[in-house]
Amino acid sequence: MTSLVDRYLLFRIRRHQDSDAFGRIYDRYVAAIFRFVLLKLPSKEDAEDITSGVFLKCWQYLQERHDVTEVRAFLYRIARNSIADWYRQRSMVPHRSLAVTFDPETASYQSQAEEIGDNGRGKAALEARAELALVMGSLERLKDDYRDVLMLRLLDGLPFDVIAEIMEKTPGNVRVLYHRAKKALDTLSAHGGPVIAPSASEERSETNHD
Amino acid sequence: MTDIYKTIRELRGHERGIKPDPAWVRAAREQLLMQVRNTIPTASAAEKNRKTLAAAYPSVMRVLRGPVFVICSILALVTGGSIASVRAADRSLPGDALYMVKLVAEQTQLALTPSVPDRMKLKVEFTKRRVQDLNAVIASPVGGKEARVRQATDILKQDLQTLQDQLKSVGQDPKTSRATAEAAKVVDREAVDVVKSLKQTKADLPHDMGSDIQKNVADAQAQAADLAMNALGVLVDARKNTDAKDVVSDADLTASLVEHKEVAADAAANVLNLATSANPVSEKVTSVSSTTIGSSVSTPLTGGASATGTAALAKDAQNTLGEVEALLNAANVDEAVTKLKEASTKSFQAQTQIESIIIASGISASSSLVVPASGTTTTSGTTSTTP
Repeated sequence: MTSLVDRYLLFRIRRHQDSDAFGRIYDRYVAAIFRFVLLKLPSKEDAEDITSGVFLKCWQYLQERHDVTEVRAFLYRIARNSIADWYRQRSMVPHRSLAVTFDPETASYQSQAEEIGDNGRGKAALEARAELALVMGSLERLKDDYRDVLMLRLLDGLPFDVIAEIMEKTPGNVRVLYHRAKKALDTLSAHGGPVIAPSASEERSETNHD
Repeated sequence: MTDIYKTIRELRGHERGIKPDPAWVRAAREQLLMQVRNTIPTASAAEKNRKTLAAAYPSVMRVLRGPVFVICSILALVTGGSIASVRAADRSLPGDALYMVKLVAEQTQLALTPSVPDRMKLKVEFTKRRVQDLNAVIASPVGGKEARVRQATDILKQDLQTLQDQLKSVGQDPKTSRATAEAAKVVDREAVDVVKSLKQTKADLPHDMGSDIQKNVADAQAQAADLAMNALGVLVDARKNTDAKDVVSDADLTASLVEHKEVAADAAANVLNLATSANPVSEKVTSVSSTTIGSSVSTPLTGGASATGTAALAKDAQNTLGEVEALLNAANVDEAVTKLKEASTKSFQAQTQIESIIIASGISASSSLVVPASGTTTTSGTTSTTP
């Protein structure tokens, strides 16, 4: 059903340049794209800027080309490329500092509970932030592809074929990557230290064995 | 590791999950759809833009600031707009469909300006335009005036804050460069002009405008005064630096100090005039918001923050201005600047307080405004004419 709604909205955008249909696409995916971007950039403001840019680029592309079939994957792909461009423009290695931190003073992300100001839920928000920081502290030590596949699969709940489209790999490669990412995460927690991604040939040979 | 996977899964869709700020989501949506509709050549696009613009306003400038958005806007203008539409946008007013195009074009210029001092000079020029836009909207017979004026004052305050932040960042360099000194000179001069211009704006505001708008204009004036004082501080520091020393001559500095003194004296005199009309009703007001030195603080009214107390603060400011004059006559510029900052802070603090009292009481803040003749300062109850 999800893909039917998206396909209908895409049709409305292409055939009728329906801005309201595009608004609905925004409503459906802004939170997911924001979350995906936020966890890779140093500040909430940067994440907001990138997220806005993702949707604008999506609209512009949809006006010119008609080869997008899966809009969700397309949005994630634009987001990934935008993040890479962001770091490239700053001549930076992808920043490992998180926009989401544990320190209540410096955290750029606020849960809705904190915004509402309810002290009881504020405590839960702090605990959640601590959990998230712990998780992200582990994930951020992984290589980009490993981290992406884990987040897309576990956080966003995307199926492997959609993840494949986002990461521009085959579904088989993505399954292998996911398997390796989980192993790497387990290794990290057991031994600590950096994780080295396999070479492209190692990935290909493992895919062939599938 | 099972725990980490479980935690990650729980983060998805859980109320403790990562969610964007709802206000940002709404504002970004409106901004996005406005951009989208600008690329669609339909007759109803202008009407749709006007409506989304009115709703979009609060967080728009934050979205506009980002370099990614600016680059996308350049693309949008090139692919969807034309030179003619940007020219047409130059004449637009707050609330018009093309006003955002105007602001985006300015943001683009800023983003393409490499150095902070040059950006400051450009930004202060744009800030002056915001004051002109505000005055134009007040004077024009447009529909939805209150919403437009509100939008214009919000933008103006944000622009003044941006300038303040830029000045702070360049001012932190202990060795003020020539470029910074030149920029600070421009900011100082133009910010004082903004203070003077907003005095007239307050007088021109229709009496039935919302109290938040009146307060916004008053706050903007205080912000501009504070900005000007900070720029003056940068100029004084520049004189201690050999490289930048010749950018600010003694005559320049003295002229600037005189301008600042006049503006502060004008504010103090305004307070004393307004205090007369506010005094009977000040007991009904329980708190006052005062914007001083870039912060907006709501202060519970005590006896000292009543109209009487505010008038006393204004008198104190006038006394301090008298000391400034004496120091200037003795060519003691550094101390004169310190005293001037003190006087200016007191004057504008008192002005903001008295205007808040008056707004809260429902009396028009401009109804008792008596403008001292130019070149006249009132100090310690006596009147003297500045040569």
